[in-house]
Amino acid sequence: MTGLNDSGNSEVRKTLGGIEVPIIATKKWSEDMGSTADENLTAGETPYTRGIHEKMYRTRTWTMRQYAGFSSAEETNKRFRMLMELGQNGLSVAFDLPTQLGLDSDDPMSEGEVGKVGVAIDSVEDMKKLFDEIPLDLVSTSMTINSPAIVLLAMYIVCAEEKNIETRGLRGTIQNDILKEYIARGTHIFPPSPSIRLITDIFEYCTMNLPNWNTISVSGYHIREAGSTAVQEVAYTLSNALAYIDAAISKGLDIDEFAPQISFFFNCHNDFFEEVSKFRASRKLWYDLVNERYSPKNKKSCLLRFHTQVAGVSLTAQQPQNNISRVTIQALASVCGGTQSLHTNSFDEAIGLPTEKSATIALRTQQIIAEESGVANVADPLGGSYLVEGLTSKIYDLAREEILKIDKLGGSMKAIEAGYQQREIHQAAFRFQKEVESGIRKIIGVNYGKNEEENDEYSIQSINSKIREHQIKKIKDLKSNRNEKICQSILREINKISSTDENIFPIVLEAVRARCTLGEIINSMKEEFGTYRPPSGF
Amino acid sequence: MDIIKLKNGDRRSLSKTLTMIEKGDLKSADIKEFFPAINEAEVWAITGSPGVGKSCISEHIIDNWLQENKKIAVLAVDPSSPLSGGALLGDRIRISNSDNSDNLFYRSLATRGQSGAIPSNISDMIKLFSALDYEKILIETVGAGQAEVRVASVSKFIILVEAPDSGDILQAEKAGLMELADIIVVNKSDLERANEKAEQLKLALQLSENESPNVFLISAKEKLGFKDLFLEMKELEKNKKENKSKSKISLSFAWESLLWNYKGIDLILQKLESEKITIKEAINEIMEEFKID
Amino acid sequence: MDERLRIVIAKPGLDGHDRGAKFVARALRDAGHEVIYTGLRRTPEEIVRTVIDEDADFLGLSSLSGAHNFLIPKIIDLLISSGCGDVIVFAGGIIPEIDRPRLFSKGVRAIFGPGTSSTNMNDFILLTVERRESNSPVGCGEETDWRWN
Repeated sequence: MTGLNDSGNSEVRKTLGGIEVPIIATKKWSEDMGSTADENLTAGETPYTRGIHEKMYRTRTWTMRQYAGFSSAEETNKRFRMLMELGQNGLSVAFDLPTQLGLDSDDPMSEGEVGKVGVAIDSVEDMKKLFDEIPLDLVSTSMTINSPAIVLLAMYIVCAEEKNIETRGLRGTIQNDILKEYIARGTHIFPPSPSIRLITDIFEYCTMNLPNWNTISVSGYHIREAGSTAVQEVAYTLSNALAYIDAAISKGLDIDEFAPQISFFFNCHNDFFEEVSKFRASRKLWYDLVNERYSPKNKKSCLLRFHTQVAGVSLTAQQPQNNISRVTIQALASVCGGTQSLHTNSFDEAIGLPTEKSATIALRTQQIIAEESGVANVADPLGGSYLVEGLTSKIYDLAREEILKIDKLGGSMKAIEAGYQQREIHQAAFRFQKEVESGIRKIIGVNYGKNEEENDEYSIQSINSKIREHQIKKIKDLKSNRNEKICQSILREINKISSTDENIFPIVLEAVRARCTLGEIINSMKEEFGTYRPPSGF
Repeated sequence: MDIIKLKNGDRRSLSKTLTMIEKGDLKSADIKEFFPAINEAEVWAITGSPGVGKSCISEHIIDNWLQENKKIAVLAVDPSSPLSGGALLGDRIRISNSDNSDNLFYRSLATRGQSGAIPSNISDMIKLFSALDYEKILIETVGAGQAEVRVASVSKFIILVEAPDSGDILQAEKAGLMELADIIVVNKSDLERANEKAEQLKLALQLSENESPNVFLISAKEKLGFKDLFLEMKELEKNKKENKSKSKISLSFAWESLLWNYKGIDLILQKLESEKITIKEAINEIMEEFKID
Repeated sequence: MDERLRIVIAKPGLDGHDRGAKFVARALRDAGHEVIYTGLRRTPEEIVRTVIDEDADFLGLSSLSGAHNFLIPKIIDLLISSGCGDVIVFAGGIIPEIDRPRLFSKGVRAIFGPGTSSTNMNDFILLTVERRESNSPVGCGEETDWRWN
């Protein structure tokens, strides 16, 4: 699929993902694209093409959930409280890279990385500071954490316990999606099998103890950021989700027990109609796939609920304020596509970390769409448009085809091990970049509409250079105040259980309660599980 | 070339010297002259189609040697692009131990458009490593076609890697490589078809007149089956028997490099091109030069 | 230029975003160079060792984690102390304007942010090679204020 948009040629125009679009979409065109849209279908009705709730945003507007986190737990706590005061209704935690890779701040590999792209969390003490004065029984919290998700979720639970909050009622999401880490995001620790085992252990534990928790957020976001097309984003994400379902079922779980807790996370790029259609197609495709393959009894098992973040990769470092317009178009597409929650990027993210000012503009953009634009009044406002219905069908068909191809390769995991998705994404990314370089694809401020002189200075969020020392001191204090003997014996127990089929969640909870650090817990698993590097796609 | 530094184990000097060999600025004769006493390193080649898991297996083999405190050189060969002449050398990507030990020297090589999957001067590099007391040399190369058979001429032992999903083993071009292999490894033993593949291979090998290599089922990902592989490798190093097909290849490759390094070759090629002589006359001329009757 | 350059493209630090690094590696290959890509999460020590073993002329460092201020100077110091001050170093990824002067003064000769074209990068490589051939200082450990951008 090549995505050329030759502006000199009025005959052929394609979407960002390379689907040819007509000069004007007619009913016939739409049908030629495979559309069999039911004119009477409403939102909340199967196969959910038009949305998962009957009244969509009239019942409740989408959750405005801005991903935030930097420096220490104390600093991030301040940013969280600022965002809540501005009217944000869900929290979303960005962890720093050492945390995402299960390294303590005092690990030599952490040098230079502590608190940079997110908040540093070494132990439950940090987690408690992160949520200081935030009512965990009232907010929903999303945590972008994958390989060590089990430990961070355990820390959240223990944090609630120690604040005397009923843990069964906790609401939130952990990303917990290792497959896309191998494909696109790169923060993987363990090899595939033990990684999947940790995920299904979480499924099992939460089914019984945390019924309102989204145990996984199957993510296309990073796949798209790595350069995939919209169709690939849908196909690889749903294919990964099928792999998780298969793994959970082979562990002996019932589809209707865990599938309702699976949520999704998509990207939203600049091609407005393609993106709206992508969301509609994904809902229908997920409904069909789950029904065909697992015949669930619970309707919620095949419901595609998703969070959206607008495309970070579309932001330009050149004329950064233009990014506000890009974010607005993308946010509008996600709302027209029926997202359940939304993160809008700050305009300065291609230059550095967002400041309070830019983060505020990003949130205000969502509020403008919700309150001023009127798009939230009507569910699936573009349903019935020949263009959107046609594109919806096309994306549905192409993504389904791609999923079947992965099935033939032995499923998502085997395909990843063979480097298939990585290679396809790398090809698409390379093609796109070449189109930009040749000028076929225009990007304002980059290869078109350049300003002669760029002398605007933008301030960016700076990180306290003492943050690592601060964290190291906290770890030292923690270790000198805990019962070392108990901690060591729990860590040995984790290592032992790692080699069995026993659910590892309870012992991780114990370790967190006893003040073992994230790095210690992950290391005791690492000794048993080993580490892994997937094929890069070259 | 700073011989003292080289002999003292300076990595950069070694690296620069390899570059000289690669460019043809340093010939076998020079190496022999500068390093008269030459030990012989055990040279292993690991080969197989793309995607069968060579890098991961190499990593485990390297680890095993490192644990035995051996001095190791790895030469990872990838093809040059016929269009640009450039190359993407990505064998390091999946290896996590490539840069941690002083006992390991890891060099990526592009084929630089030479015939065969390995650069012709690789044998000089091997000589240099041997002279510098490297005990193990591992050559990693893509074994996708006929030309890859040349890896046999520079290595003492060949490990051929197969995977259950790597296509039909009985492809004609692989048959040659199979005859030369000292060990055949079927990776990805977690896949359903792995056993089937191993059986298929064993059957095919029975039909060959040479002594058959042993077939091992392993999983590089889960690190399974390596104990037996390592034992077999040790066993082979102790009692290696020459096999006839391999000798043939070695001879013809050596012959070929002799030919292309012959100083009068350009003149003969020119004469052939302008049809001043026939192929037969050219052969006679060369044979005379090499004093072959 | 009839000699093939050897270029190491490395990902120091912990971030897993290699879309840019992979694009650069491939574009440089297409320009006729031999490119060695290290893969994700390499320590400064590992990167310097790779540069040495591969006898690289250039080292390209891609960082999107914000750790560039710590990692890049450390890598250059290690290069110099290992006798590789002649290696030409460039960087890419998300490197804020405010951090650049320090990296340039440390010996980085070009910083390619988002939106850089491969032509631009190739021009940089050709020009630095010319400088090297005329014995003008350009390596990361050589005394000069010269830089590409």
